[in-house]
Amino acid sequence: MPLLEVNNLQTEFKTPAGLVQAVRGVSFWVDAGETVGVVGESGSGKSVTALSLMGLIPSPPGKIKGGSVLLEGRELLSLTPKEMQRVRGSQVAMVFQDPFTSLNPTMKLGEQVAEAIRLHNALGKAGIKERVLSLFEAVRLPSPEIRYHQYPHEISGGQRQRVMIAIAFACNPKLLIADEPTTALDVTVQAQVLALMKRLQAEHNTGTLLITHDLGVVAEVCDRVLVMYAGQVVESGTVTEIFQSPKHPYTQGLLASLPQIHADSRQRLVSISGQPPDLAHLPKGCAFYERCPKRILDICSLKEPQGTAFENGQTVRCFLHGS
Amino acid sequence: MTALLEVKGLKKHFHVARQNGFRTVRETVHAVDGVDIEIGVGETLGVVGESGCGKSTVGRTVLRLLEPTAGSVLWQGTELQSLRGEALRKARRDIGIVFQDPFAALNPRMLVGDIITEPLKAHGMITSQEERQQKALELLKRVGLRPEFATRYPHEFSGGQRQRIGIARAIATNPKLLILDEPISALDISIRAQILNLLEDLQAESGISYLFIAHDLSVVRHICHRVAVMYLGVIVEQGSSDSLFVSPCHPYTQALLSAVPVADPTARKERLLLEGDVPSPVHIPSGCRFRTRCPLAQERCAKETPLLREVALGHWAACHFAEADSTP
Repeated sequence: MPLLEVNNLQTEFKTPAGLVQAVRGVSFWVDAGETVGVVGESGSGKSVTALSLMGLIPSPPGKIKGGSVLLEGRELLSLTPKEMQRVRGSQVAMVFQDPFTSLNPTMKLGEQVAEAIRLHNALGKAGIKERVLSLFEAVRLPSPEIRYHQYPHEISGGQRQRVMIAIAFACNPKLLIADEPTTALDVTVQAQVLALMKRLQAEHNTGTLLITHDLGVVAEVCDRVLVMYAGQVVESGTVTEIFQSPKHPYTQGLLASLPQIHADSRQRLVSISGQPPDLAHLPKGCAFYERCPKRILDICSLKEPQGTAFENGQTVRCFLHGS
Repeated sequence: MTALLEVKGLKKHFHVARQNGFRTVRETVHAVDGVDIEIGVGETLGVVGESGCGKSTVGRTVLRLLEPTAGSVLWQGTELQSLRGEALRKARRDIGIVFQDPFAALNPRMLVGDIITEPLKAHGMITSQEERQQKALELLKRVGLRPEFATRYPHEFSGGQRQRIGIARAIATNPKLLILDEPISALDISIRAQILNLLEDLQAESGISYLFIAHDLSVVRHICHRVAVMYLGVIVEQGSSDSLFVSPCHPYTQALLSAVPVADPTARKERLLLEGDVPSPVHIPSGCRFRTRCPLAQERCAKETPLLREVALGHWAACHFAEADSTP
């Protein structure tokens, strides 16, 4: 049994512009100890997928319309808000993009980590503080005793993200959802934070769902990858399959459009023309039809591809590869 | 050959006041602390570095959107700071700027056609409304947008389209130099390549020069002829794109390149991880600014400030230990 199993998840939002179908039937799984990357552009539904798993979709206007989310076989979508709160933080933890807005500016750093521990554990005051300090050491925060009494504005962005990671790992979660955890950081700090997350994940055998738009980060840290476009997973596979033999024209286009740091010649980039469709007014056929260089006129604009699975486990949602 | 733009010993310090209890502490932020750069005709110079290294301040000081604290900016051989009134306006016509955030850079109450021809009006280059409309259509076409967009408002466009509008406005006066301040970092990945290709096409057509400010090294590698790497207000290494990316000499450049995640799972590698964070530009370390994070730092680095020296033809590095071909 996988750690997390998501089947046909659908989330929509009521907006003045119409019903926005942000997540349209997403299915995937995460095993213990592995890292699954979710890549896609803004509006592809990757963050909404993560928030749906955590029961954090604001409702209204949002609504999970269907599907199931099983954590170690237990259905999360049918839990009461109170039960869900117990799951969050103890079994599932989340790290967000912006470490400044996700920490409380009026609370000492140590207290914020202590709060997470107190909510889910019956430890004494001294025990909690000891645990906080050991977490600060685990995330390599310099001089933990001093940091305990400091406020978020007194430390740098990279250190704030370390505190966020300390909070996430406070209760040894089984599943970590990291939504663009290093996007706000500089490259040298990003490398530090990614190395830290990898080490903690290996120590605790945590399954990780890593949401990012950076294909470089995916190639570096993920075991498997889901490529999302317009609310659907259009391709999935192991990181090697996705990067070496991408099957969906969107994945192929994304990879071809990246400037290469090791390229010798200044080749012209292959760009994907146009822009993603409006999720409130989706086209009838394939959502990528308008931008696709390989579209088949009679089929792709009329019917939605349902997805094909290959023998090696790679899946693709495109008429060029079955139905 | 005189360079189109020559910057010598540029410094920009900001004086800030901070409240510490009841005391006011006055501090100086050394945003740019002695920078020399040169850009030739039709050339793209990349300025890279992490947040707070002063790269954007360099761009703004060149345009005199900020007045430099010290140093000189020579535009086609003339000191830009000495220009006043009409002469300054004329120079500004020749230098354009494209900003990072295409959502904040366009006036939401103006029609796109008016936005992109505003510089022509401001500089009195085209006075008739009709001619300006004609010019707007021409500009839209040059940046790959449809002519009917001229009568729409910015909110109707996506990020990539807005950035094209920003570029159309910047090239309206036929400038010789464009300052591109992180022009694609706010855009989605599938859109970035479109904008990079557009910039390259414009350069091929008109021979315009670019000062390309960015933190993304792969992009800089792709588009720039020469690159300057900044750290804490100074340039630590400068050279041709090929030379600098293939054999980086400064330990900071080496670490920066090593930290870039590469979109190829077979290329996973052991990284050269830097410890700690960039020091505050208020309290700059003595000697070499990079020594607090440098794996090679020795006693000498705290005492002597390393100057830029030529390690290979046209390739400069500011490190006591930098040598050409020090990396495989």
